[in-house]
Amino acid sequence: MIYRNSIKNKVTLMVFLSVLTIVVVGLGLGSYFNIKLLHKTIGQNNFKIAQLFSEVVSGIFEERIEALEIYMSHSSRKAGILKNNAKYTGMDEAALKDYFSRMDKEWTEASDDSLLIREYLDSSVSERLKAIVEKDLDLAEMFITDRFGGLVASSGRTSDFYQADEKWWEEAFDGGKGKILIGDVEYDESSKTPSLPLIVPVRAESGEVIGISKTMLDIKFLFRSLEKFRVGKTGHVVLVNRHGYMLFHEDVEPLKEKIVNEIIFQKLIESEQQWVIENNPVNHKRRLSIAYANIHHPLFEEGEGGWRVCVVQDATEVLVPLKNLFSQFVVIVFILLMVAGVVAFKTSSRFVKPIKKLHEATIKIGEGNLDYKAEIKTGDEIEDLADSFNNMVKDLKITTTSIEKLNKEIRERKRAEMNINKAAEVWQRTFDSITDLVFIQDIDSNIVKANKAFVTAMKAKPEDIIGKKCYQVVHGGDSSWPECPFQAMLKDGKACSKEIDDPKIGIPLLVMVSPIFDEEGKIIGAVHIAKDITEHKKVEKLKDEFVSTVSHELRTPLSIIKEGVSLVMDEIPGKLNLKQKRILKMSGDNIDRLARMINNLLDISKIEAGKIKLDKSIVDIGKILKNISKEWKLESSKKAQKINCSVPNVPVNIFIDFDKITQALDNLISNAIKYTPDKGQIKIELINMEDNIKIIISDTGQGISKENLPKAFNKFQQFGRVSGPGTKGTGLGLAITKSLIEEHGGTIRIKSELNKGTQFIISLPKLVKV
Amino acid sequence: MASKKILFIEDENEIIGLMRTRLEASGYQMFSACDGEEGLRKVKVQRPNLILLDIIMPKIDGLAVCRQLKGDLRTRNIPIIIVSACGDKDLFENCQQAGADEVVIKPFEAEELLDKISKLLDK
Repeated sequence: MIYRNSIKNKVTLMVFLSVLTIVVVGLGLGSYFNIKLLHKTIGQNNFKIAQLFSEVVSGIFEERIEALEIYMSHSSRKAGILKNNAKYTGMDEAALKDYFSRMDKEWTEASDDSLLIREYLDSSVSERLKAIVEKDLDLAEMFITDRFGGLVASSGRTSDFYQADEKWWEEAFDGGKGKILIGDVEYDESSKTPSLPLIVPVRAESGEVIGISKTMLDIKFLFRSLEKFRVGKTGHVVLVNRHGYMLFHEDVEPLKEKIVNEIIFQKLIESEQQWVIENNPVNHKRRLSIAYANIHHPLFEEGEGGWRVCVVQDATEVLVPLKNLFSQFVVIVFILLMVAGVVAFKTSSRFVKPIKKLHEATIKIGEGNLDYKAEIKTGDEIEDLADSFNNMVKDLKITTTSIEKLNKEIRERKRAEMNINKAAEVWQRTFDSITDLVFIQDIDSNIVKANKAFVTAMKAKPEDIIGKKCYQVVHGGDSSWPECPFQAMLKDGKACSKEIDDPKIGIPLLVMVSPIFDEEGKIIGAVHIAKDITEHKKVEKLKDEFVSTVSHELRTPLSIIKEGVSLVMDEIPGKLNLKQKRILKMSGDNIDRLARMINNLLDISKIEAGKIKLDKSIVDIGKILKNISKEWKLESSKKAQKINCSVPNVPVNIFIDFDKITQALDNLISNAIKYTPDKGQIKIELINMEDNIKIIISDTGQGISKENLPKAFNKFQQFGRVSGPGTKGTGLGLAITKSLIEEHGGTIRIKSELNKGTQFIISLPKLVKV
Repeated sequence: MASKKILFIEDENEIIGLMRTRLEASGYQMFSACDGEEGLRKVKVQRPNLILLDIIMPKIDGLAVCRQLKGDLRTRNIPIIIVSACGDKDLFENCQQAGADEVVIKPFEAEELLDKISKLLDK
């Protein structure tokens, strides 16, 4: 990873800069003071050398003076002076003056070989002086005057004879007190020698000044030791006078040049430490270090004194230690910076290493490795951070796990929801695909759900139906529709179906209402399934029409036959014999049989179509039984049968369709008579019970076998068909009877034993209190 | 006493012939009409004492004839016995509603019919 500003770089930079700052400030301050100190003391050495040399110069002078004094104190010299002095004895001031001006004039005019000159120069004293001057290289010239200024002896020819008119002479003589004096340097053009006059009074033993000596010292020689002296490579010693003119300098003519220009010289003189480093525009044209020291000699402090020893050196050389120091400083700084850099790099690496580790950890964790742990043992805040980080990851893992769990749960729920939705969709689709009109209502008749067929049949939108009362939607009424099978269903909690043909709906419907129960078995609503039975009705109508047409078409010719036979039988067209009558009787019976068959067929078709309608009224069932048995009395007596009808004395009133029950019972009794042989017994019994009645019709007939018993109520099932004359059955009687009784909510059972008899047990609900 | 006139409105000729024999044998005078229209016309002309009326007939069916006759002040007192081959429960109701006095289902017992005729004529 490359950062624009990585922590490593920052730390490196920071540490580096810190170290740099410390080093620079420390060294800088140190160096500053050091250099300042050096600067203050750098010229000190040269100043000290100058001081030393000033001592040396003083010493040289001292030495010279001493030597000269010794020279002059020599008796021969004194004698020579005294001899001269003696000449003036008796001469007044004017005479003296006159003498000297004459002598002076003669002296200047005389040639070197003249007697006068020779007398002086060849004297023993002069010879001695000459010898001294020749011997002592320091000395250039020497002469001695007497106490009035007249020349006594000289190493060479002097310019004047009379010297007392010279300033130096007067000063040295000092009114007879005598004083050692150094004169101004003189430059002898001819010999190109700078010389320094040293005037020393000559004293007698008594100390009286008897004469004055003047010696010209050759500065070159005098200071040759200075000339040789070197400070470093470029440093040398220069003697200057009080005005800064060089008295002595190698290769330089004395007094011609100033050592430095006036400004710098003034600066130097005024400087406290007695040295300066300045650019010198006059001489050397270089940067120079100049130090000076006054020559502390009494002779230099007055009169022509004020000499100074200067030590001049190239500033570069002087500043070498400073330069060295600076170089050292630079090297040290460089080394320290290197060290600082390395330290900074190492430090930052150490800093960054755990951070990098942590970074790696974040990447690993980011990749999903939640078990990864950042192992950092630095014992500092970063370890703390790593610990917190690890804890966070732990928490994150827990959170993530629970989130995953949650997500899983959500997914499962979504799937479940989808399944539910799908199931609901499938259910709705299925529901809508039902062609019957279906709706679901709650217990308060509000429509909860309706299928497409229902919605379409109602010519409405689903939102106009859902939540509305079913009777409002279906029948347009304000209260429950009285014929609704829902009411009937509520009574016994069983599904109830009913055909309805509400003109408001416009189509005949078979409505089946099934209850919906809750967990506790309480009815909470109902499903209405209404079947469009228009087609069924049409078919039924066709069937009805067919049946009635067929029966009409059968009955019409049958009635003609019957009436024809009947007319003949009644002998209206003419008398019949017995045989004819018997034959016609047979025909008539079978015509009746056919008619019964037709009637029974019609009955059974009506029953099976559920079209039988009961016209109920309260009747005395006992009376019915009595009437039937009375009607059959004739028939049974023909067979010598005994009919025993036992009914209670009081009327047994029940709520039934008189005709239908009569038909059923008549059928059973007629059967009993028919299938009971002659002299048999028929027993009719009525038992009045609390809520229902029981009728038992038994005979002593041929009975029905066990295997045939279950088929007894089947259609067209005839057992024990009797041959010979008598009423023939249609095979529908028992089926019709059973249907009629059941239509009344009653039951019929049969008990029979072959050759012993048959027993029918009928039970009918009363539905009325007596 | 002149014999009672019975009008038999019926489209089946055979039964008309047989009934004529039967009724005349019983001392009645019988006319016949072969459809409802003719029947109505003959009621006005013949003024029968009783009418035997079939239901299923061409032109006007028996029930309509019955309703018409019972709705007419001049003919409402003439007893009408419906003699029909379509013997179901509705028939009785329909006949009652139309104002018929009796219903006899074909094939009928001649005795039963005569019994009913005499009872109605005796009233």
